[in-house]
Order: sequence, then structure tokens, then C-alpha cells
Amino acid sequence: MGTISETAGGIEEGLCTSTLGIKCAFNVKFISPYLRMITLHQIQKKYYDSLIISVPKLELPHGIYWMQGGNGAGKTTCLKIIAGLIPFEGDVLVKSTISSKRQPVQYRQMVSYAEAEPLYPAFLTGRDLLQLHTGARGEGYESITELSALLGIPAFIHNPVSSYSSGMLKKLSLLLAFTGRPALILLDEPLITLDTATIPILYDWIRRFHTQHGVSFVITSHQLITAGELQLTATLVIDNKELKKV
Amino acid sequence: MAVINILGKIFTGRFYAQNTGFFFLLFYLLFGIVPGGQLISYHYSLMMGIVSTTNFLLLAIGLWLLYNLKCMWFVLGTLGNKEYSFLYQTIGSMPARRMQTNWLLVHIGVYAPVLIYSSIAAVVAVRKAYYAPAVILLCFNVIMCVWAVWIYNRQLKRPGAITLYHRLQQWLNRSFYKPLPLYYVYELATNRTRALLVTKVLSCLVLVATFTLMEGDPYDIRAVLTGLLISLLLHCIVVFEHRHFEDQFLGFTRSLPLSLWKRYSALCITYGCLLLPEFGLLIIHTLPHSPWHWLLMIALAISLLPLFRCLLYFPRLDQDKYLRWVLGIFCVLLFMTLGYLYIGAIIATQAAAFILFITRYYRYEPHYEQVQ
Repeated sequence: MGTISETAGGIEEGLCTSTLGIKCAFNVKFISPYLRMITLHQIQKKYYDSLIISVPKLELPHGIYWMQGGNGAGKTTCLKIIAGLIPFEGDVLVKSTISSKRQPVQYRQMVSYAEAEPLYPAFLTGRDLLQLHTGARGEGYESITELSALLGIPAFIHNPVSSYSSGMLKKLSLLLAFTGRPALILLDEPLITLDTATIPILYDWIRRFHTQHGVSFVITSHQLITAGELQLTATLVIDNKELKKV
Repeated sequence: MAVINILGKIFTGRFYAQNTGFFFLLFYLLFGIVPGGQLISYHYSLMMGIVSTTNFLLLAIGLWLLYNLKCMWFVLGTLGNKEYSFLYQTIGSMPARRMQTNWLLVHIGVYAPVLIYSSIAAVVAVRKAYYAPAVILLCFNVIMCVWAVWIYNRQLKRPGAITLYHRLQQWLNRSFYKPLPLYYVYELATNRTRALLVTKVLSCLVLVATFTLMEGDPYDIRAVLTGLLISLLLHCIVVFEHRHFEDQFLGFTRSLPLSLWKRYSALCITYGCLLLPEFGLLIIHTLPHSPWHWLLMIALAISLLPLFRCLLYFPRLDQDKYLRWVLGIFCVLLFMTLGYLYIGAIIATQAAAFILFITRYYRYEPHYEQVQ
């Protein structure tokens, strides 16, 4: 049996016997609901003294969150702040201890981000980008070869990204977000340009990474992502330039 | 007649416009370095050398073959361009003979410099009774033109067919991956070729001129460092464009778990690779005088260009302000070099670049950041 901490969680592993009498091994990551996965502390983002978004204090336990807001509300800016892509006032902590400012490398190891409209240098191939991400993030929870095969990426992985359609580019950027062993994955408009066959695969990944590997998700989408597909922990709303949990 | 005019604009006109720098350099080498009075005798001797010496003839044919490949590359590249996909429906629907004539005229248009020069050489060969070289030149040109027309026709009949170049590119993509420090070098080599070529030619010319001026005088490292500083100064616009490239395409790398030390090393490697031709020249010319001077110069080069780049982590630094800073730094380093303080200058430059990098990297945000 594995160890389980009351506040942080742990790994539960062992043997179970099914109703048919078949013995099988299990390995399930247990994340305590008391663990604060993301803590946003006195966040303020301004452009030329104009406030774009503010988060006085927000603590989010392990879960799947849907961030809502109209066009220009600041959803992408908020995700970029959490991903550590842009400078801001305040601090973001993952698992209550890893700070985006004090431990930038460890923080980035814990947080992955998939852009709404990914843009890469035209001469790079999917393989180049995958190599860069896996090289920097290390071994993942699941085989990246199998994940990419599910999205049909091997068919075009050796071609330069300049030859990709927007859907192919989106699939690649989503795959890149699932590399390494992040504790939090930020998905900015993950459904746009994806074909109907890929959307259930993405939902399955989110569910599986959440339950089996203890990954939390913050997803922005103008499309309804609930509808029985994902069990949301809570909804985040940007109202009057302030991010709140509903 | 109208069709060939349009094709002339699409292929011939664009070919010479895109290769202005190349033809300017070629023109200078063939006509600019020889005094006007000796121009005819110079070219006559060159042609006599080509037709009378087998090795020289092979060298000339080899260079002309490369030029022919360049022409074919350009035409095939244009055919593969989405903007010119209408050519498949227009030229492709012409009768075969007319289509071939048009392609021949297009190829003669771009291949003209070699065709004219080699034809004159063939006439010289016949007049001097070198019949075999004359026949070789004639056959070579006919083969080059027929080969090109065949390739163009083939491409037109098989749109979307994978060319040898694409096969080679796919093989390279499968066999090697591009490391992060080389992204900007690739960008320059693929999308900003003209800027790279002009910078490299000017920079290498400055170094060659420095070594030429030093001939006969006692070796002085300060003179070489001054030449190198000017050479590095010529890279400032390429460095300025580096910020634009990173802002536009490499934003995603900021979310990767890489330490600042690794990121800074990658920056130095980028500029080290960019300066490889200059390093080659420096090693050849300084190694016989002092075994460690070339190391000193490489250290200066991979300190100064990163410093120029790190200045740009101040997002409000536009091109004017940037150039003022670059010139200021250049002047300070020049005076330090002339005053024998070059080791101090290198340490100060490297330290300034590193400090700027570690303090500014995470605080930097592109000036045009879109608010969403």
C-alpha cells in the first residue's frame, strides 16, 4: 500500500479482486480536496496604468475549472499570468508552496499551457516542438507516442508547421500541454478548430489525467464544456475585471 | 506574346529583383575590381583560361551548374507558391509545344548571365581553334536548358508531386531535430536570407579589409579587435530583428521549465553559430600570431551580441534608442580596446549582458501585447 497524506494526497496502489475473481493491480493518485492547487495572491495586471485584471485572493483546490467571460474580458491574460508568460504584480502558488516568482523553473515544471491560437516558427516540425517540450519537461504520465497516435499526429509530425491546418496545429499544441508531469494544465479555447472526432478524445484525456494523475485543469471556452462531458469543480468568472469563483 | 510578358514578370523580373544583392556582388567581382582599360583583356584571359585548361573548364562548368540549379529552384519554388497556383490552369492548358517554348524563354531569361558569358567563351574557343571545349560549352548549355524545361513541364503536369528537395527536407526532418539555440539561425537562413547575406558579406569584408590593411605592419591585436567591433556592429539590425522573432513566434518557450542560466547559454550559442564565418576568418589570421588571441575575440563576440540583444529586454526601446545605445557601447569598447583594456572590456560586456538578462527576462513583455 502507498502512503496517503491528509493534506497533500499520495499514491494508492495494491491488488483488488473483481466480481469475476480476477486479481488486478491498481495505481491511483489520490489528491486531497483540502490541497490548494492554485493560489492567486494580490494579482494585478495593468497595461499603461489601465487595469486589465485583478485577483485579490483566490484559492482553488484540485479540480477542473471552467473560466468564463466575454470577449476581451481578460481570460487569456489571466491564463498567461498563471502560466508565467507575462509579468504581473502579486504571486501565484501551485500546491501552496511553489511560487511563480521565487521558483520559476519548478513552477513551470508544474504548469502547462495550450494557447488558443498557437503560433510557431514556420520551419519547425511537430517533432522538433515535441522534442523541445519533452526534453525540457521530462518523462510524462503517459506515453507521448500513444497520445500523439490517438490524435493522428504521427501522420504529419515530420512536416514543417507552416504546412499544418489550424486544426492540426491545435492538436499539436494540446499534445504539448500534456507533456511532462504538470500538476495544472491551462487550456485556452481548446475546442476551437478541433474536429468532432478529437473532442471526445480530449475530454477523455482531461478526465483521465484528472482522476488518475491528479492534474487540475483551468479551461476557457465559449462553448459549453459541461453537458455531461466533464464534471466541473467550479466555474470561474471574470466580472468587472475581477476573477471570482462561482 | 502577352503570355510570355506575364511569365517574364512572374519569373524573370522577380528572379532578378530577389537576387539584386547576389548580382551586385557578382558584377562587382567581374567588372568592379579591374581597371576600366584592362576590362576586355581581363575577361579575354579568363575565357582563354576556361577553354584552354581542363580543370578551369570543369570549375566554370561546376559553378554554372550551381547557377542553373539556383534558377530551377526559383522557378519550381514559384510554381509551388499558393499565389501562383493559377499557372497550373493557364500554362498547363496550353498545347505542349507552346508550353515548352514558353518555359524555354522563361529559363533563358533567368539563365541569361551564364548563357551570354559561356557563349562568348565558346566563340573565343572556336576562334582560337579549341573546338572540343567549344562543343562542350555548347552541349552544356543545351543540356541545362532542355533539363530545366523538362523539369518545369513535369512539375506542371504533376501538381503536388514531391520533389527531390522535399524528399531531402523530409529526410532531414526525420533524421535531425532543431535545437532551441538554432531557431533564430534557421529563421535567418530561411525567411530573412537577404538580411543575413548582406550582414555576413559586409561583416566578412570588414574583417578581410582589416587583415589586408595590417599586412606589412607589426601584428597588433587592437587593430584586429577594432575590425571585429565594426564587424559586430554591422550585426545590430539582425539582433534587433531577433526580438521581433521571439515576440512573434517564441512566446511559448517562456512557459518551459528552463533555468535562466540555460536560456542565457542558448542566447550565446545562437550568436556563436551566427558568427561562425567570422570566427573562421579570425582563427586563420590570428592563430599564427598568438594561439589565445582568437579565443579572446570569440569571447568578445559572444559577449557583445548578447549584450545588444539584452538591451532589447526593455520593451520601450525602439530602433532609434537601440541604435544610440549600440553606438554608445561601441565607442566605449573601442576606447577601452585602444587603451589595452580589452580583457576588462570583454568581462564588463559579458557581465552586463548576463545581469541584464537575469534581471529583465521574466519582467519583459512585448510592447504590442494584445489584451484579451
